[in-house]
Amino acid sequence: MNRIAQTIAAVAALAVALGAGAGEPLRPWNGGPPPPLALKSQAGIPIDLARLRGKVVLVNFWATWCAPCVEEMPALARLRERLASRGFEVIAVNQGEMPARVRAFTERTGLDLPILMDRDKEASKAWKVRALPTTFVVDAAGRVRLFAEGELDTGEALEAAILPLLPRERPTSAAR
Amino acid sequence: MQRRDFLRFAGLTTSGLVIPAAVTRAFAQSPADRWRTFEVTTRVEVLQPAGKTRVWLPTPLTVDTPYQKSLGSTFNAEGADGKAQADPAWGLGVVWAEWAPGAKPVFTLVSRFATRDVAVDLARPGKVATDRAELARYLKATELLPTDGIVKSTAMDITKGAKGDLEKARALYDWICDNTFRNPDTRGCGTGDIKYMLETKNLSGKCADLNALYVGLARAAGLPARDVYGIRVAKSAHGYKSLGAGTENITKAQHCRAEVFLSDFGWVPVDPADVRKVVLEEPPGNLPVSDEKVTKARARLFGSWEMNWLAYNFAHDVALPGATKGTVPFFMYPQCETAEGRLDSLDPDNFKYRITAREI
Repeated sequence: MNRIAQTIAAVAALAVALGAGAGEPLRPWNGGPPPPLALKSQAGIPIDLARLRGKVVLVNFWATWCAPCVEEMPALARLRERLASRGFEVIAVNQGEMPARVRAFTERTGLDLPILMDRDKEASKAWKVRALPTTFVVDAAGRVRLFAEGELDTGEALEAAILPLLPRERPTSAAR
Repeated sequence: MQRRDFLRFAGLTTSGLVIPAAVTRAFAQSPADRWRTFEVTTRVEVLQPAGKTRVWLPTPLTVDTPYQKSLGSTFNAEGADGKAQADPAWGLGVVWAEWAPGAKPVFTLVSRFATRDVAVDLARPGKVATDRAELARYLKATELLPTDGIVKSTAMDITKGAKGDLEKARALYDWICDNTFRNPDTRGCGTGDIKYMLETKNLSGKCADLNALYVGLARAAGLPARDVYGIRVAKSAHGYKSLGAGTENITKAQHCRAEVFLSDFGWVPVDPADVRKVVLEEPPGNLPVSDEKVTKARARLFGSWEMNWLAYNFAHDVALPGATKGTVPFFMYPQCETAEGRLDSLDPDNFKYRITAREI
């Protein structure tokens, strides 16, 4: 391999390594069916996980003061954008914070994700969230399939873990 | 209706609770003999009330101790009827009020109390009166402080070979000092989920984590122990910048300490969490445990407290009167519920509240 090709290969390897991230991978969940999750969104609209049956939903518990939460959220927003047409949704459940603080955060960062407000931390308790961030992936039948406690590995492995669960195929060229 | 209510716990009985005969004095003269007198004012203004709004505030300890005496409190719930309730089993005092929909909740609590530095001479054991019911209370598990499983096995490992309860208490103290660390990113004072800390081997946090870990391990080892939830009110006279309140604004100066009961000494004050605070924060910061500032603090904080600090209560799993959102693990911050849910006690700017202290 010539020198230019070696350099390109090294840069590519580094890019893959960086893309893989240093976080936790999603692991299979053995904790039984998910508890209910019905909360008001940041805009005051009721959102119920049960009504999203038929989609794969990534439920992410977070807070504005949680640095790893804030770091991973843009990647979750991009994933949502990429996979929405295939029946994928992301719900970001804010744990216990005041609406004014969350609003200031979303205005400052431009974060575009559905945010549910768990003001009493009752949902966090029901889902046994012991640390932030904590992430669950619920399949189209409403079963929790994957779980991660701590900062997520938001590299290629995240999408690879979710793709097999999605209810819809990638749109074909003809469909486009 | 505006009414300034004077807090007299004596004679006020709430269902199921027994109020001690003489607890508070009406802004009495501070006792002599090296006592210092302070006044702490907590003012709450709920910025976004919704439906019925309830606010709860902790008072100073409702039982007198060698290190603190209450001198009385007054409270004013603008537009509502304020109430007071005490549970002396936990030294717990709560003032609270409920506002009707549409009201603007403003609640002020002014408390006066006297404190005196406390030190137990651990070289001179003596005869100590014991209250079995009290000690039994402080051996029990709580929601976040289990005393079985990994907490029990860890406590047994730490105290293996220790002879007598003083050695056990010190072994646990040294273990916390050597194996935990203060995490500056922990929000507020921490949560105190000691099982999670041990299971994940993440022995970091702040005072409500590290001192709760001491208390849980002590209880699991058979030593009555209790968290003492409170707030710093003045600078440290020992020259430690990290162990005092630098200004009169103490809104974010909450601090939890701990006590352990030893059969030859009674209740002994400890504070391994503050040892870790010295390690992290005492200038120039990130001191080694062998640093003289750390070793001096470590020696002093097993058996004594400087009382530039107000003790609120010893309570866990607190059922706030009239609350609809369940218990709180501990009661060291203002609490509020509206029809939209429980407010974030760790966000004084949006809650909102301010706490100030002055020495009188």
